[in-house]
Amino acid sequence: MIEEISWAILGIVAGMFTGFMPGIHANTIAFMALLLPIDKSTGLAMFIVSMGISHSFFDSLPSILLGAPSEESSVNLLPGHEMLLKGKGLEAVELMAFGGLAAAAFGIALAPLFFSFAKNYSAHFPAVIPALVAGTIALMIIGEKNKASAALVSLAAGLLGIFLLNSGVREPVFVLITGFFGIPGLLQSLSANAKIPEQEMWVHAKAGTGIGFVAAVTSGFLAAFPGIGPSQAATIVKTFYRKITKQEYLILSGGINTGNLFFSIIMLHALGKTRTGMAAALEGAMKMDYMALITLYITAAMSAGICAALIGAVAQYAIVWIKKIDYRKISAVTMIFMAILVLYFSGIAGILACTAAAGVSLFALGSNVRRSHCMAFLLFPTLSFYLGLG
Amino acid sequence: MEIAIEKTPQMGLALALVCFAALLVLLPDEKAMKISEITSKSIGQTGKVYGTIRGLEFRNDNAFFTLENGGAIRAVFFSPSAEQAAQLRENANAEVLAQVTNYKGGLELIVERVREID
Repeated sequence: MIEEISWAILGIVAGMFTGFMPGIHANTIAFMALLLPIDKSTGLAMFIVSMGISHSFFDSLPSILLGAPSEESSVNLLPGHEMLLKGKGLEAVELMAFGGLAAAAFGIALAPLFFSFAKNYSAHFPAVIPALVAGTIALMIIGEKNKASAALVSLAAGLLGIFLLNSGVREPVFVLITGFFGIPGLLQSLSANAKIPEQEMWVHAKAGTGIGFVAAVTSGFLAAFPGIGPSQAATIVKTFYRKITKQEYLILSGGINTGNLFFSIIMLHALGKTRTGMAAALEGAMKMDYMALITLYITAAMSAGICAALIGAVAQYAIVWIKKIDYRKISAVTMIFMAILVLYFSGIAGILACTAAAGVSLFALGSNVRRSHCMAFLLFPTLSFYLGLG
Repeated sequence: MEIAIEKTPQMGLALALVCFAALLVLLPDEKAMKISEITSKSIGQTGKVYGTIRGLEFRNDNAFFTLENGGAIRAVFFSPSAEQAAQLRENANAEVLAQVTNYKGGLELIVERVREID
């Protein structure tokens, strides 16, 4: 018992580390752990789950505070970073943590429903996906004043996505996320001589639990639908909930990130399908019987609770630290670090693709259209896959 | 219903404590035992034993096998459920929760739960 709980605590610490470090994902550590000469056991599975959950909370910090996004956190970079520049970085972090916590709580309540749903209806899901994705792309473009530029950004990002995801370049999603969402923001910080303004160190905001419920329900469907990731799901929900505020969007994306991991444990047990990297690692760590499902689900909820309790204090510390350092230097170092990671993982081809993606994103900025159109780099390949084109 | 965001840490802590208590109930206090270190002094102790299942036989709804890992010990699983029986496979690596007993002068594990781990 003590051994297993120690594994879970270790997982939370490991997830904090992977969350902080742009380019290092909890899934990488999980698969490395499976290769170690340690007994595959309940403890190891609890380590993998708590690390995944912890990562989903703490990867909001580099995206909001440094402008360095990961695959999952890319959609929060823009509103989160925007809040940072208004002195509300801590609130942005806490909103995402609230979303994660709400998704955990609702995730427990909704678990039986989605278990039964997945068992009975999973075969029909793939038929719905193409219409959902195509509708999302169309609605996003229609919502812009400059529709031609928005369509151009969407098309360029989509084609770049299709090309790179089928090119054999390693870590294509990381390359494109860095190009679309990381580099342009960092370049802006450099050229605008951006300074982090005085940050509010106390949060006085209220949030509706309804958006947390939406996040949990969305993650339930997300875990059931193959091919749609947290970023696409947040984009889809945002498109269909037109009046969503920046704060609600952060809650939503934080909730979807964490909730997706919860429901992927259910899908692994109910369907034997691995919908997340964490679930794939779990499959290698232990057999998912009913007892394992309950143990891991409770471990995930405990980890979510601990992370929600800690992240505010950690963010306060990080904000104090960042303020002491020249933000331009941080931006420059972050940008160089990310370029090195792209070069290391994906070579010269990765650097070229990253540059092209940054170009598309800068065009969007110059044309006054939302950079979220760049998410088409994931939506187009999903659409083409389900239409049998790729 | 609206909730103050600054209450997130307290709510997180509350959820963590409830889940921690649930894990204490769910996870029995199982110490790991190495087969090579199981002796007559271990009789009566319950713990987790890791090893490879060999010589698996089902007789009268009970499962009999030898667990090997730096040593070997006989094990019996009385009336395993269908789900538990499915975890038993010849040559599979397993985590076994069992009590050490003495059977006809030899050491034997009475299995309470088995989980295939590989």
